Amino acid sequence: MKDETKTKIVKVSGALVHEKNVTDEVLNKIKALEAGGNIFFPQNYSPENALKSAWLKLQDDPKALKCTKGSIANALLDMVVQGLTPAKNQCYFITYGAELKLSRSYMGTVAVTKRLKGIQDVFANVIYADDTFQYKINLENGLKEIVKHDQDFKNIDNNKIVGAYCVIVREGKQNYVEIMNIPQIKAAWGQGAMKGDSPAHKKFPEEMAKKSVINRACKLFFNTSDDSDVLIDAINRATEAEYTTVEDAQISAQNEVEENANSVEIDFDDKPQNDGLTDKEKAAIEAKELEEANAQIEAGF
Amino acid sequence: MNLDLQILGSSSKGNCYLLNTPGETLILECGISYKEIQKDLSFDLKKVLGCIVSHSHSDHSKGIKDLTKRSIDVYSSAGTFTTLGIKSHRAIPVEPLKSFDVGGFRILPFDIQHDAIEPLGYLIEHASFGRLLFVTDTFYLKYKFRRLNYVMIECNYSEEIVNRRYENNEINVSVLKRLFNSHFSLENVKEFFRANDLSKLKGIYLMHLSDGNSDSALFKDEIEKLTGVITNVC
Repeated sequence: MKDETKTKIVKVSGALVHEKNVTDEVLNKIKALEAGGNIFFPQNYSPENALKSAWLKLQDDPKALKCTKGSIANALLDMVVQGLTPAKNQCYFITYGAELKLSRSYMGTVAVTKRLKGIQDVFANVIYADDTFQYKINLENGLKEIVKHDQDFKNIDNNKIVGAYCVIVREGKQNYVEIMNIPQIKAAWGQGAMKGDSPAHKKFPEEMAKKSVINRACKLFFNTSDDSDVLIDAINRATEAEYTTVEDAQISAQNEVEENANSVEIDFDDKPQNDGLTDKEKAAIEAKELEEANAQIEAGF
Repeated sequence: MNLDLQILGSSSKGNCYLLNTPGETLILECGISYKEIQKDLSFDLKKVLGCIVSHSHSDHSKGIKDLTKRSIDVYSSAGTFTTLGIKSHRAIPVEPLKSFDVGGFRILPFDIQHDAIEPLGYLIEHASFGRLLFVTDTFYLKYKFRRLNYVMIECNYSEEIVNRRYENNEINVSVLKRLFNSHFSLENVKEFFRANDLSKLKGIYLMHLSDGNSDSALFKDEIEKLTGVITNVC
């Protein structure tokens, strides 16, 4: 009995040390980014609390805990940089083999989009069959404009959803509008793991339709935004994790095969060509060395 | 001399092969229970010099603990042993591109591409059979090799079969996404053979065929046509 308690204490303190190491590492990186003016947090966002809540979530997932320390730290860093917290269901963690990745829920997508420079609000509406809906395309800038959307309360019927739209309200610029009809929405659902067949899709198709159009609008927005700060990088990494479809997975695997496969000859006696690195890895190292050398020259060495 | 290979298991249910030479045996993978290995060896472990393991997934590593307990040296990456929590002086960590000897076997481990921690493939040389390449659970090989006499290679699925099953909703999406980044397809195995020196090749063993996504007759036929070498399906 005594021994059991002892083991338990040792185990718990081991987990705490691990937690402290990983979360400290993330907090230190965050402080460095903050000091450099590269990052700002929404009001009332506490990185410490978000990390605590993320760590508690990870405790319930043995697969996640087995991921590499580096990938856990990066996923947590992506979460904090985006100002997200799992406690508000804004994000969750997915394991890909030994890699932990952060994925955003659509609540999280709305929250981070609102934090981009010049964005005031993000909202979405569902269009029902009996609604009056009209839009036009502004030929000056190619943006869509909603001219009319009249909806009677009686029109609301989950069996009669014909589309959905998302409006991103911008400061001093025309609103950005994304519209999808129901076949497009269902095609987007079909890309997900449940192919649009989850209980959520069946019970709350209106919410899932809004989610699809919000994701599409915001995704386009991140990619076309000229804001190149660390926030965008973190947003895009989490978007990637969420949007990996079967086709994406196949294409990215095949790209890697084409770049790296059967490229380095090895044998017992000799050192491998390029020290066992592929041409791409070698080029990356050379580029980095050149960059460092240039930085030293600039610094006056 | 030909390769004397005993196949005790070659699927996701468990992988294990006995590489026999007149006086020495090397176990390749121990993804089946020790009892089964013992049975296939007719309980004669005298010839067994050791076991090499590619990675930590249980269909390749289940028997490590039992082998080490029976004083058999097991060689794999440090990452494999750490992941499995194996601490034994019989669990010997090896590093990619650093060769080592086990009796008359000369072994060169190299890194492969699978969703496990530090997975390895092995180039094995022995006076009795020459050079054997042993590689499983990787979606491609970064390396190529000279003067191979035998190749044991995973040929898990064919893209054509997998794509057809995906269209027909017969395959789980997350399983499929993982497959592309973790296992060798027939198409990529063919690329491997096209890129390597086959001038001394005498035999091919295709391993670890998936139950639903492969066709052993077709795989054997296609590889034989491409290489002109007798191909066995494990």
